[in-house]
Formats: sequence, structure tokens, C-alpha cells
Amino acid sequence: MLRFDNVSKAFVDEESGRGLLALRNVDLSIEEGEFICIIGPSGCGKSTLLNLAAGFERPSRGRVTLDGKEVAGPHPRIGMVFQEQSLFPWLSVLDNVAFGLRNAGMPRAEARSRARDMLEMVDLARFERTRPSALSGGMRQKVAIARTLVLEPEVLLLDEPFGALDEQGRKHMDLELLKLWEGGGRTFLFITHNIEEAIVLGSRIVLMGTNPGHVKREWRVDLPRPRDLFREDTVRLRKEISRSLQDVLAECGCKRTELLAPIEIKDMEIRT
Amino acid sequence: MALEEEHVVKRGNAGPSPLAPEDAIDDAISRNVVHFDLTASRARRWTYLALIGLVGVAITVLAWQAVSMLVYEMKGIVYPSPLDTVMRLGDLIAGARLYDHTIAEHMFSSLARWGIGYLLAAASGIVMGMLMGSSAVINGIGMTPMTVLQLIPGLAWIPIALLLFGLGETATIFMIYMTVLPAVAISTASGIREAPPVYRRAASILGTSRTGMFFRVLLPAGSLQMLNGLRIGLANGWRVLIAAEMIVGVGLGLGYVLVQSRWTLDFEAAFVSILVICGIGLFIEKILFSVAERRLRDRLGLEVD
Repeated sequence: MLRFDNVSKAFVDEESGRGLLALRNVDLSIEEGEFICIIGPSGCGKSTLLNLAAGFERPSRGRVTLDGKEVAGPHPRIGMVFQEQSLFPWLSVLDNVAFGLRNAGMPRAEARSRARDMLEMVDLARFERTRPSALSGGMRQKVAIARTLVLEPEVLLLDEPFGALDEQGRKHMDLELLKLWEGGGRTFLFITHNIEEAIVLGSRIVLMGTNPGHVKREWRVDLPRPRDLFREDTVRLRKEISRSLQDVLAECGCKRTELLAPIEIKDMEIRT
Repeated sequence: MALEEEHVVKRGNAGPSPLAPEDAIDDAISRNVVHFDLTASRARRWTYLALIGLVGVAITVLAWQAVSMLVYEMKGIVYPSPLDTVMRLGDLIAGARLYDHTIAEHMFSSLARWGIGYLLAAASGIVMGMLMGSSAVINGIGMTPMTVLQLIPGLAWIPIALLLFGLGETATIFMIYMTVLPAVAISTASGIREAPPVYRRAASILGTSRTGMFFRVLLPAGSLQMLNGLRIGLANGWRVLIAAEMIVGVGLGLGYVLVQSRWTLDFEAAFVSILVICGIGLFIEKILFSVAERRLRDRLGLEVD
């Protein structure tokens, strides 16, 4: 179980003399095997929350624990998939996936054969010799996921991993991700801007508010899978979450339209 | 799956087609193919680029010729023309001696001197840069002296070289060493330090040790910049070599030929020496380093084709 126990996080910059409270009194318990989706406006501390879970940051107050033990630094027990491209471009797809296994001291041949099995699972075995630069954005993220999952982490953190993909690519990757989650019984903690994506994926959805970042509301999603976005109860949930998100946006003085981010971006593109 | 296949960047299939780009487009439209090949027209493009390059060379040679004619007309001084210089070079290559040595001996003596100084400097610059890249403290300590060293013009080392080593070989090598070292150290250090932070984070959560982080992540990520420093150092070293040979004198070498020709009024020999210096510089810069950089980029996975 991954627990955030009354966690606050402040960033201080002594040089400029300014401090920023990014998270305040966050309590969140994540059971083994849950698929948690975190939504919220930008600046609500979603990424900070993930960085705390990954051990890249330490909480200023409170504790982050995995199975009762404090998360003291990055550790392969907790895997992470980054928003930006993070594969090592100088390694082949296979060696990228084998990277963590080699770190753990596994002999090259064995690491490669395990990595190969993992690539098989994500349908990318054909590309084992390929360099990441020759893959599409979606496939790169899939390799990044494989690189993490091959270490069999208890928790997988995903920071808007498909944010850079087009709509079709994102939906495709969402389904692939679901397959991996359903097969493994692992805990996934997934950040997104997109309510529909959260509903398709999450077993629980956490809405965060801003100034400072905090947990606003949670929904347990018990809808049957695969989820149909147009079922009556799904639509009701979408509306409810959407309304709550609007409230959060109104509170923080953000533009209400941020909710409709993709449409807004398209509008701007036409104007410019 | 089909979706993914399409997303893979294709490296071009089918055999080379001899069509010009415009015709190849028409051909692709009429045959309804997605990926088509332009290798043949790429060869034409290379020829075209080479021709443009040759025009630049031709302009330089013509300007040289014009100057030599003008100087002769106006001052009555014999100013070696391109043809004179090339013919003299031909004589020298055929075995004529210049200040008791063949041109090849002069050339190889310069190259050897420069090679020794450069290799010593490159090796210690890389080690120094790696140390600076591995620790903020060492970087803080090392960056100021390296920056200061880089600001000192190569020729300014002459008095110091003479004081330390007197006239001769060692002084020349010392001067090369001092001008090459900072470029290599600084670029190695900054290449490592400026590696994208996401690589660092990804590696650390994949359980990478400190040494693993350094050698398997930061060093490859910074190696292109390191190569760049090696290239800058090479050019710096080559320039200072010629200057050092002119002053710290060793009786053999292209710089020695230059300065000696001044005393003997054999200006043709000076021009030959300059020509050889340029030739070697061009070869190293355009051929050796271009090839090295292309290979490194490929190894680093930075290029698609």
C-alpha cells in the first residue's frame, strides 16, 4: 500500500527569498492493485505528488510510505514513466528495456532474454534492435513502460505519459496500458488532464485543487470494463466530475475553458 | 498493430529509382505508393553541392592570382601565383630539398609534434572534464582556471614555454598542450553536466548506481559535446603549432619553413607551406571529424538515416 500521510511540500528558494507551498496536508491511501487517476488543473501539484512517490522529492511535512516503509529515494520498487521522451537514444530498444536489469547485476544474456519477453508482451519484439529515434511517440512510451515493468515494480507512476500523442494514439495506448494493468495486479498511479481518459482507466479518480495543491474529491469507479463512455451512468459520472473540475477552476480563478483544453488549443491554432 | 507499423519511420524501401524528385512525386502519385526512393537524385544533389564548393575554391584561387599580378605590375615584386606555388609543391614532392629536408619530412615532423601535444592534452582534458562533470565542487574549482586558460592566446605562451623548457621540441609541445587542454576539459564537463535531467531521473529510478549513472548515462549523453571540444582543440592546436615552430624554432617543420623563407626571400616556399597547412587542416576538419561526428551521432541514436 502506497500512503501519503498528511503530506505537505514546500519549495523554497533562498536566493530569491521566495517560498511556494505546492501541496498541503494531502492524505491518500492507495491499495495494492488499484488504478488511480489524478486529475486537476495545472499547478495543482499533481506532478509534485508523483515526484514524492518516486522519491525524487522528499516531503516537507508528513510521510510517504510504501508498505509502511518510508520512500527515501528513487528505487526500482516504484517505477515511473515520464511525460517527455526518456529512453536512452544511444541504446537499442532491447538494451533500454534491459537497462534496469543490468543495474541489478543480472548477466547480459539473461537480462536481454527477460527484456525480450517483456517486449513480446507489449507487441514490440520486432523492434528490439531499433533505436528509439526510429519509433513513433506512442511506441517509445510503450518501450518506456516495458523498461519499467520488467523490473516488476509494486507501483507504476505515470506522469501524463500520452500527453504528447494525438487523440487516436492516446486512446490506443490507454487500452494497451489497461491490458498491462489487468494482467499484472500492480498499482498504477496515473496523471491526466483528460476526464474521459480517467474514466476509461481508473478504478478510482482523485480530483486535486490548487493554491496550495490538495485533494478535492474522490470517486470510486465501479463501472464494468471495458468502459463505455456513452452509457447512461458513465455519462452521469463524466458530468459530475466535469462540474467538480469547473468548481475547482472557478476557485483558483483559472479559465473555465481549461477543461476543454484540446478544443481551445485547436481554436487558437486556427486563429494564429 | 497496423497503426504502429505506420508510425515507424521508414528508412526508404524499394531499389533506387533514377527519377528526379519532381518526376518521382508524379510516379508515386500514379502508382499510388507511400514511400519512394530518392537515392539516385541524392547523388545528383551531392554533385551539385560539390560543384558549388568548387566555385568557392575557384574564386579564392582567382583572387590570389589577381593579387599576384597586381603586386607585380604595381611594385615590380615577384609574388608567387597559384601556379608557381603548385609547381614548386610538385618539385618538392618529387624530392627537391627545402632547408636540408624534404617537404614530407617537414610535414611529418609538424604532424608528430602536434599529435603528441594533442594526444596528451586530449587525454588529460577528458579526464579533467570527467572529474569536473562528476562533481559540482570540482567543477566549481576547475571552471575558473580552465576559462582563464582558454582566454590566453596561443602565442602568449611563448615566453612561458621558453622559460620552462628553453628552445626546442618540448616548448612547442607544451604550447600545443596548453591551448588544447581547456577546450577539451570545458566541453567534456559541460556536456556531462548539461545532460537532460530526465535521463538522470529515469536512470536513478531504474536503480542505477553512481558509477553506472556516470559511465552509462551522463558520459554518452555528453559525448557529442566532448567531440566538439576535441574538434575545437584540434584546430587551436594546429594554429599554435605553426606559430610555435616559427618562433621556438626546431629546424624542421612547416612553421620553420615559413619563418626560414622570410630570411632566404624564398617566398614560394612560404606559400607551399601555407598550402600544405591548409590542406592538412581541411582534411582533418572536413574528413576525419565529419566522419567521426557522423559515426558518433549514429551510435548515439541521434539520426534517423
